[in-house]
Amino acid sequence: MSLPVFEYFQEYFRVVGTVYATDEGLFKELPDDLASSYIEVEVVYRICMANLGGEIRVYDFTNNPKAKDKERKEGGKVTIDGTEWFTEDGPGTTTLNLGTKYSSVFDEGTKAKIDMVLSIAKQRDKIEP
Amino acid sequence: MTLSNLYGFNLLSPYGKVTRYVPLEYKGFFLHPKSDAAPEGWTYDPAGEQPEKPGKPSGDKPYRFIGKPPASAWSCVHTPGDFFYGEIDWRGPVKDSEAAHRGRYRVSFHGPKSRYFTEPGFFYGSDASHNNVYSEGRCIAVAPYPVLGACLSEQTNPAFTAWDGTGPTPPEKVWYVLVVCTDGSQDMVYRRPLGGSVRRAQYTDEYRASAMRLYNAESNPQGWEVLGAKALNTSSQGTACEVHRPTTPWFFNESGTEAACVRECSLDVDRGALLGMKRRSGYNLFTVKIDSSASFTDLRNYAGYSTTIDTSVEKLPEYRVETRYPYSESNEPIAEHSWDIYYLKQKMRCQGRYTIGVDYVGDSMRRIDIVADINRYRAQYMYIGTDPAPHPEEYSRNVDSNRWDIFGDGFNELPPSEEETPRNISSARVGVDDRVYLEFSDDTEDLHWIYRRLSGSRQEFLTGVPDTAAQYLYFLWKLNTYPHHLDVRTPHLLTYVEEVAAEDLTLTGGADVVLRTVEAEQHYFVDNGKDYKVFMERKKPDDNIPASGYPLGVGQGWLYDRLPLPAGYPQNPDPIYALGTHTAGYKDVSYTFPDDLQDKWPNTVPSLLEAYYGTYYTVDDGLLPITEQTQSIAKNLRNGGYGVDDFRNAAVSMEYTDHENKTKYYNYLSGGTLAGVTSAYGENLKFYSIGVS
Repeated sequence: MSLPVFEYFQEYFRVVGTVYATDEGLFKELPDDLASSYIEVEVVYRICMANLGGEIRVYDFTNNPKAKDKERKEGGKVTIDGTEWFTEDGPGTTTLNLGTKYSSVFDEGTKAKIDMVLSIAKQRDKIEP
Repeated sequence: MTLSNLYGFNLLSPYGKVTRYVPLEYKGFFLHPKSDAAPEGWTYDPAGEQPEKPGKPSGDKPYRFIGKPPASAWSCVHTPGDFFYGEIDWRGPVKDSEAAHRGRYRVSFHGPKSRYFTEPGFFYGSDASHNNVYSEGRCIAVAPYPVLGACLSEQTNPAFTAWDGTGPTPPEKVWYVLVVCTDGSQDMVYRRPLGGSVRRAQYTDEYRASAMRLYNAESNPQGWEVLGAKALNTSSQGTACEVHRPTTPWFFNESGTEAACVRECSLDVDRGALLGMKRRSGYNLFTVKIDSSASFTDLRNYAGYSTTIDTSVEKLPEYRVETRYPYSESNEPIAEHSWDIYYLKQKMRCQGRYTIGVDYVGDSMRRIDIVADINRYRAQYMYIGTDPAPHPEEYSRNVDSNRWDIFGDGFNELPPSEEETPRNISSARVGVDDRVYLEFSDDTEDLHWIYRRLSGSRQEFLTGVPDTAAQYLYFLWKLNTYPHHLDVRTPHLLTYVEEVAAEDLTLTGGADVVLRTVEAEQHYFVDNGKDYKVFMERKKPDDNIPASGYPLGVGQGWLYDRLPLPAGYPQNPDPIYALGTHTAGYKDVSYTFPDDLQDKWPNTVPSLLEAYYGTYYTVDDGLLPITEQTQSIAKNLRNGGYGVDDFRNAAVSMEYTDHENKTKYYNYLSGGTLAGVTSAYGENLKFYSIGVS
């Protein structure tokens, strides 16, 4: 009897955006006249897991709740590190900027291997951006 | 504070995390709305538009919070519970230079409502709340003693300095609450790390006792730490110095590195041979610099007001009158009278400044000075009879058929004046231009009068431009103002004004004088067009003073720029006197005051008239003492609430007496109104007290 394949995945990076949960709902920009306490939430839109063998798993969360802008309007572009990803429905035109935050669990050699695999995966599975 | 009505917070990604919780930042004013219909104040009833009386589910402590963020209208926030706020606030640095709407760090504490001036009935330590320091409607600290001044300051963390490299790095800077307190005998500076705050419901005896505890490295590292203490004195200025107990606050600069106060004091000052040793009351300015310790400095005050009085007397040709009774065919006079005549001119000039308050605009100290530039001229004839014993018939002139020389034969001419008295002085000709004003800011366009006297036209009074073509004097002889509230940081000033104008004092005299009296309440806010807004004016009935009398000590008014009177002034041709060329004497007197703030300003000066009457020559209408105008307890004026927020919005609610002597309330919000608060529900709406956050 052989052992099942053991895959030990760890977080390589996550793509996050900051929104604010208030009495009036979620905001990507706080209105100047906000009259509410709020909590600042780091919302994950994508997470990439990898193992030492260079295998990766990419999970997207593109249906997160929409956040409003200063004008209390939903909608607008969503970008990752400045590159457009998709556009949310709504009258708003304010961009939600997401950023990539890398973990520190992999050494440089492994990171190079993962990045190469990730670039292939993006082409093959049309992962954007 | 909890988030309510939160919807859409069902975040789908399972890895999101909460990074920060930010309580509601109150940027605006805490109010206490009341009216005749709700004398105890309003509470919020979510079901109704109208404000409700106390006792509703939202609590028995009435409250409202209003704010006006930049570029938005006034809005009201209702939150159950009750807020803490004080009358005096400290305005610190901006919280976030890229988010102006977050305003500044700010704390408040208790003190006189007028901010810089003593308030009747307010005594530090008379209420346990005087130890509290507030921010954002919450109590953030309870000091060991009544708080005279408070601020937040980011200082080096002692734990960082002492860190030996083991364990996690302590933060390099820590926010502290700094306070200056009084223990009754000295001023003490304390600090404690900023952390934790309570609302009124959580302000228990246990919390208070715990929050007041002093620092102990082992048992209470978060407690109050003494940075310095000093029993303030002004021994450098005189002897027997006594610094009075504090009645006004210490004010911190924006960075929280320095504070200043003005304290009433009294001491003996040697005023030289003329006046001798005087017990003087005054104000003294102190500062304290604070880092890891506190060091006090006595900045004293300006020398005060220096008065110079120049007196000149010219001896005129002797005046001689010969009389005979009733008339005679002989040319021999039966009586001869003569008078020595002097023309006395006196000029008084009083100049100087005196600091009565202090504050900071940013990190720059701003003294609040009363500046005086007083100019008074007086011209007067003096005469003294030097004739031999008058003929007995001289006293019978009442039946003299040639009285005042009606036959034109050169006898029985008009004597100088008031002929029954052998020595006298004529009515004085007085020119007045008194300017006493508050100076506290870079706002040089407007003079904030404390006191004004002027003989001149109304145009000159209002514009400062003399109207030399005026045929009639509009002798606006009196203007006194009494500040209710002053905040030099914006600036913002509310004053009670008394104005008395004596109208139509003709140059030649003889006409009745009409006194017009007006009392008013005025509001000056620099962001409101830099102009005074009059919200109450009470005109009193005119008072007609007959020509034989003169208004309240002022002799006969003359245009200021026409004095001293030249000889034979064309608009006042004097039929009797002509100036001679002899100078009989000249005397200068110079001294400084105030000798005592409780006294009238000097109205007696020694002069040559002593030689004639053994009395002092009086400069008319003595000036009011400083304390009466800045600390008037007779006006009942300081009932109200005042504030200016981070965005230069002002909120005022003040009680006053209207023209019908009824109590009214003046409510003002700059840059618009807020119907929910400013529209009357019942009569006599008011929303004080007011706290700034």
